[in-house]
Amino acid sequence: MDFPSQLVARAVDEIAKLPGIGKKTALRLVLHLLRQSPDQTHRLADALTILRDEIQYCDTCHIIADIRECTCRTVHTDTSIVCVVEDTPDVLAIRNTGQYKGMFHVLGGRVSPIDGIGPDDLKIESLVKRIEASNGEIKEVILALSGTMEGETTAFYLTRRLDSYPLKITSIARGIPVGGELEFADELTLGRSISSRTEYHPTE
Amino acid sequence: MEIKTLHLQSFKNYENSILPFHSRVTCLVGLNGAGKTNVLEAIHYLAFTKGTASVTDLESIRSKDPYFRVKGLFEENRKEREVICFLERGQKKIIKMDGLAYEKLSDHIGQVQVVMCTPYDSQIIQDSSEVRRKWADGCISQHDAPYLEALLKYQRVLKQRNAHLKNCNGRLSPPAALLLDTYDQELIRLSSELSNKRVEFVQSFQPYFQENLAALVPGHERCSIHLKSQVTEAGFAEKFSESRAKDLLMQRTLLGAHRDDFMFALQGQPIRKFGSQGQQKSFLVALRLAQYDYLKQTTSIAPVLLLDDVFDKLDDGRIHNLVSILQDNSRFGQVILTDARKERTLSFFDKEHIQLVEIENGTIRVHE
Ligand SMILES: Nc1ncnc2c1ncn2[C@@H]1O[C@H](COP(=O)(O)OP(=O)(O)OP(=O)(O)O)[C@@H](O)[C@H]1O
Ligand SMILES: [Mg+2]
Ligand SMILES: [Zn+2]
Repeated sequence: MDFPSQLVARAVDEIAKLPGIGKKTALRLVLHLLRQSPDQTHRLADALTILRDEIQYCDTCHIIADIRECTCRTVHTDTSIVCVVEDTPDVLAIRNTGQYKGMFHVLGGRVSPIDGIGPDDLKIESLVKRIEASNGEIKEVILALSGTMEGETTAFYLTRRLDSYPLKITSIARGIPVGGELEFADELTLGRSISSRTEYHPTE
Repeated sequence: MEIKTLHLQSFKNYENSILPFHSRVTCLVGLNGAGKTNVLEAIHYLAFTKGTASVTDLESIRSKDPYFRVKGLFEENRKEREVICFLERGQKKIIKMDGLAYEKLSDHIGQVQVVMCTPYDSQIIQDSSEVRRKWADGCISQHDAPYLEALLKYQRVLKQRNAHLKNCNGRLSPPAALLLDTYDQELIRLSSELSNKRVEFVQSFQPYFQENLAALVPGHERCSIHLKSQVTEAGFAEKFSESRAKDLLMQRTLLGAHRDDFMFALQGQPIRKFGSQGQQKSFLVALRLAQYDYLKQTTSIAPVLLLDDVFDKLDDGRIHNLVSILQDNSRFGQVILTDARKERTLSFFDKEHIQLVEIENGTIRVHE
């Protein structure tokens, strides 16, 4: 970008790295900040720095939290079911349906070697350990992953990985648009798809 | 299917032009470089969301203009449909059907039935197997949406598997092996789905091809098409699994539907090597005419037939045969062809039944 100020250009370059934001939008945001009081920008920068340095993930379910032990172990839920999702917003979406009382497990993404994400980069082994540690208390794993090809691969991989455990593996019914992200599905559809979940069979 | 009018804005050498078309034969005439091919390219965009292989999207925007916009008014079964293709520099290409933009461009495939014969078709014979697969995949996808879906999925899984092989760098940890199993199972399943449909395609396509070739070429020039595929051979799944060590070494997937090749033969020899220019051209024209028949049969819609420079390289006998083929009103609906030699075209077609469009440097003159 041929902007007369190197400082502006640098800020624009950084902001434009965010998903869905092009250089034009980034420039508009930067100029907006410059028109506001310096405090405003400092608060934004501080919030981001503190977020990055202090954010915690629950050691058990890996949901984004400010502490490493979230309520997933203490709150009264059905501890015989784990619902596996890709990200924290999916947890909120499923909770909001009011149709699900079990536990969650956040993988932190989906398998996609193109993006450098392999099974080891997700909380998959942690799920296996969690199931082992439950000594048979966990009886069902619900796969609530996106309908993208990568979501399907992840689901398929998980079923193979969990093969040897005496578990029922189910998948949320695909009322969800193909390739659609869980978090954007409406509550009613999502709620229905959880209560009508079916035994998981890869590649139907 | 019929295209009634075409509106070109900042497309190639057109600034702003509207063309009407005859419901049977329209002939675009003009000197070299006038803009005849560009008109057919524009219709190709409206049917396939992209041009023929020759140029990129950006190169289709008229030099120095910010965008191009191509609008076609089509009619099928007395129902009008308006298709727009819009491309602005630095933005995503937009395809609209009756005012509504597609989320996925691939959803438009099959909505507008067009078959185009272009001089670039020689690539189908000359280039790698990928071009021939693309051609066949295009024919099948035009009427078989699940095939297109499986194809897109296959390409995605293949890309992921290859990326995984690269990330593995020759070593296979237990999770990496399990992930590879996952991809393998998908690829094996999708491979056989795709290759089996390709076999079926060749089977139903072959008779159309032979018929057209016989009508076009005097005497006997035995040509054939067949699919060479390891996927459809017995024991493919085992072979695929056995190939894993090699795949790991080469860091890419060596077997699968992406290795299928359509073999084009003349008297039992590869036509790429043993066919003369005119024989290859005849083969390709017969291929496109057969594609026309195949599509018409599978979709029950007569496609728009676009013929760019179709007489080039053919001898007088073959040109004569081609013209009689095209004059069959019971077989063909709308045909749009280009010729740099106006008099030649005029001598072939009865003036009553064709529309002559003269093009000069991106401007259009329609003869009444
Ligand atoms: N993006 C563009 N901007 C401006 N002009 C362009 C653009 N792309 C192509 N052209 C020009 O359009 C002209 C016409 O091309 P076209 O291929 O349609 O000619 P034609 O009438 O088919 O000629 P021929 O008889 O030689 O096949 C060419 O001279 C080419 O340079
Ligand atoms: Mg031309
Ligand atoms: Zn937790």
